[in-house]
Amino acid sequence: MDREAQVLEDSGGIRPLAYERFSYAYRGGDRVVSDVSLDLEEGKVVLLTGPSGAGKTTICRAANGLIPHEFKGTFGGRVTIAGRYDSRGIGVSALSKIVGVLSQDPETQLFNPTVEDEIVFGACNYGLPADTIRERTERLLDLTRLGPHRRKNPHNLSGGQQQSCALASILAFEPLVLVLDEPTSNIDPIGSQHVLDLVSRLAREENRTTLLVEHKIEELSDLVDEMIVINEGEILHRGTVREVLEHVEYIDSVGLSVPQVTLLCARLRTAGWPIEELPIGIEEAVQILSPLLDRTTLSNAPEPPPRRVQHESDEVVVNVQNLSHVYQDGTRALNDVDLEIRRGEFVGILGQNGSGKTTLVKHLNGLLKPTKGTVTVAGLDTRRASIAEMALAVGYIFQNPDSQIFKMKVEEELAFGPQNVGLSEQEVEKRVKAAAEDLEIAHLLEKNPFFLSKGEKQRVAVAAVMAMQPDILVLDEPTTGQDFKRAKEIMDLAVRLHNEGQTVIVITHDMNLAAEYCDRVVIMEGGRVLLDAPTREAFLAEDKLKTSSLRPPQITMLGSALGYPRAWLTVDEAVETLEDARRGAAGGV
Amino acid sequence: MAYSISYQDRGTFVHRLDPRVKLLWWLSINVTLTTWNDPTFLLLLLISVFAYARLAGVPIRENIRHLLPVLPFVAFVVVANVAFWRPPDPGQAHLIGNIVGENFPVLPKIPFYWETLVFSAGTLIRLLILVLSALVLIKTVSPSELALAIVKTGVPPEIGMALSMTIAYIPVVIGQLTAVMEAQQARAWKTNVSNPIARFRAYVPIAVPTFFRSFHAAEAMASAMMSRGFGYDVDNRTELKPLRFRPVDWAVAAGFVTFLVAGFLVGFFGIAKYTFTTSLLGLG
Repeated sequence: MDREAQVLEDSGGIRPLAYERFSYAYRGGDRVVSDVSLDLEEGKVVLLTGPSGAGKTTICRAANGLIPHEFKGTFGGRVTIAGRYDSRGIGVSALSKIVGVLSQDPETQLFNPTVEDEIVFGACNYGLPADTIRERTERLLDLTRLGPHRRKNPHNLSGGQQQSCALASILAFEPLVLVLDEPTSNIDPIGSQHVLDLVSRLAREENRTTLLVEHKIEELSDLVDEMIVINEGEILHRGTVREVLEHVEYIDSVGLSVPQVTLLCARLRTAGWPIEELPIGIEEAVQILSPLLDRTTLSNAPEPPPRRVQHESDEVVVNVQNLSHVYQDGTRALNDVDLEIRRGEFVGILGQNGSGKTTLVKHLNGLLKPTKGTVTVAGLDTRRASIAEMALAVGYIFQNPDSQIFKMKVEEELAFGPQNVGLSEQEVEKRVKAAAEDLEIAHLLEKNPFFLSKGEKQRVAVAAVMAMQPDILVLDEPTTGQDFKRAKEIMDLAVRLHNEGQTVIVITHDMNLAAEYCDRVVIMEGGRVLLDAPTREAFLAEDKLKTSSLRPPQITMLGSALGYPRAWLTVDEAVETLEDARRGAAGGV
Repeated sequence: MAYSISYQDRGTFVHRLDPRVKLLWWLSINVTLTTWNDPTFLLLLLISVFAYARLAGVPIRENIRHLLPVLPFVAFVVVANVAFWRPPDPGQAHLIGNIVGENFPVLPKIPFYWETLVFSAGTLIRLLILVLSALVLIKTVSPSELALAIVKTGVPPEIGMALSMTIAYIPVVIGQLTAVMEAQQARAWKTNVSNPIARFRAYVPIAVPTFFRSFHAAEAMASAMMSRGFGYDVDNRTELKPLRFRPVDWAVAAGFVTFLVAGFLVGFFGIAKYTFTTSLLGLG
């Protein structure tokens, strides 16, 4: 056994993880974390949240020594593990025995051939006794409900199961501290609730200190002991969830998704409502608001008006009939799907991981061909249309801009698609210019896209698709791996294009996003269309949403609980209705 | 596709064999391969690899599908063979015709012999066996078993683990490749151009993003592995299923060793030389 291994044999002690005035700048870059001090107490669950680029991942990487050992840069301050080990003096593998760090992308976290091999990997590396490992593995398989999947390849699991598997693989060697960097970023709402409940339960039952990086404050408000908000590398607010959410309007303004009921009550309080303490959950909000409302006025309140331009076209641009798709490995992903989308619609395709929504949409641009049935897009039968024809009909914006960027100049990147379809040089130039102006990247045209920020790269990727001037724009999971602010930027752009007549289709399991932007939602479950209705109508069908592991936004559920018979889709709509229904208001009693 | 090129426990006789026996199979095929160049012998060897894979529960159709992406590379090597390989004694060889005639500007004359055709066919099959045997090995030996098997042969544990993780990384790269191809196809990317240089250039939009994404994925995977104690104390790593040779492993291993020795000797004494097939064709 080497020296490091011996040093870490006895790792129990006070102050499981402490950052003292920690600062960090990656090599060649600006400082991403400045003067952060954190002292995690034993058995506590701490939520660290902030917009993209706030420095959260850097803090996680410093917890087990990935920074400074694997990521080079300028390190300031000190990170101490188990009250005695300076992270700069001990290697990552050794420190990880005490601080288990789970990063956000499950694809690169899972590298063993079976779930069982994945779980035991770390415990075996640390040389734990074989019997102990077997016993823990059984317990973790049971706890994560992965028992029936133990011989499966982890990559064949659903998103939620993958995250549970990655989590179990860390828990198998029982680190003193758990650091989880956005463990639910790729999972549908109910799957993500399962993972978060599991984290919280483990922390309580096993007294495990946990640092949790998440954007989903709404789901976590009951589960954490302390909340820290970080922005641009500095701590903005810290305290209990309730204390921090007193600043909800500010937190919302820096681009974080906050509990909608808290934001609603904060706005009402600013407008003069007598609300002393902001609620966190729906029940609390009902208790606070009920005495202040006139129920009759509320129950007769009209439906909020349409939020933007409604294009009344009868032209069907997407016509899917009896579509079934079976993958080469025999997986039946779609079953007799029928769908019609008219020109100028803004449609959300919703569903849990594996419900068939991505498979359906990949039929629209011919990436997949029907096993049975037909798909007609802008008059083209996708079985017969060429790649160029389909690319002109459907613009597909993928989650990761790095999947498409390859040119050394932004201008060339934007010209790639139009050139492929054989447009003249003048036409290509015209379209590149128009797309760059639309996306506000005209100043970047001469730059190398590889050196742009993630947000700029995303805009280049969108502009490269828009330069094709497609009939239909498809956005694939715009919230995955991004914070609410960045997703909102992409969606606001889609709204701008929609206002000019563009047909937009969004694939998502983010219900707040669907509520805020989509006029109509198609809910998928088990390869079938479970519900196809206007968003307001669909979000009142709670049972059907639950069948698809979805649930309506918090604000919609609050409306139902207060007796509002329609559906609020945004906080703004709720504020407007409630102002009218307030006791003593013009329309109220 | 990404995860079908990875180990899957199909519970067959082959999967239950000791990983060292499976490594021996791969070794016997590949050593034999280097000493043979006759297409008839090599075709039989290729059939044996398909049969072994079938025994391991891997359908023939799946193997053929996985060989398709390497065909352009194989075709390139075959074309190079046709252009540059000459029989040792061209005077005795059987000329089919000239690919490039004597009066062609710039390029020298390129004759094309029956012997070249036979030899090139052997090269083609050889490459297919090389790729297919590696695929079958990956599908039948789990990366952790492979690491253990390699370590048991005396290789340092670090190298064994690194090799096994490289294999685990293959499906990740294929996943990245698929995502990139879909993204470029959505921008009307196409490769159906006739000029070989233009065709090569057509793959740049795929190669560049795949390289960068794979590079990032490798970095993330390495961090994840270290965060789970990879390389912590390799000498005292716990092995949950220690390797033990059973009688059936000895028997199968003996078969493979016999094949390895016999195959090498057949090659060494020139029996599996391309002239075997040219004789069969009446060109001897």
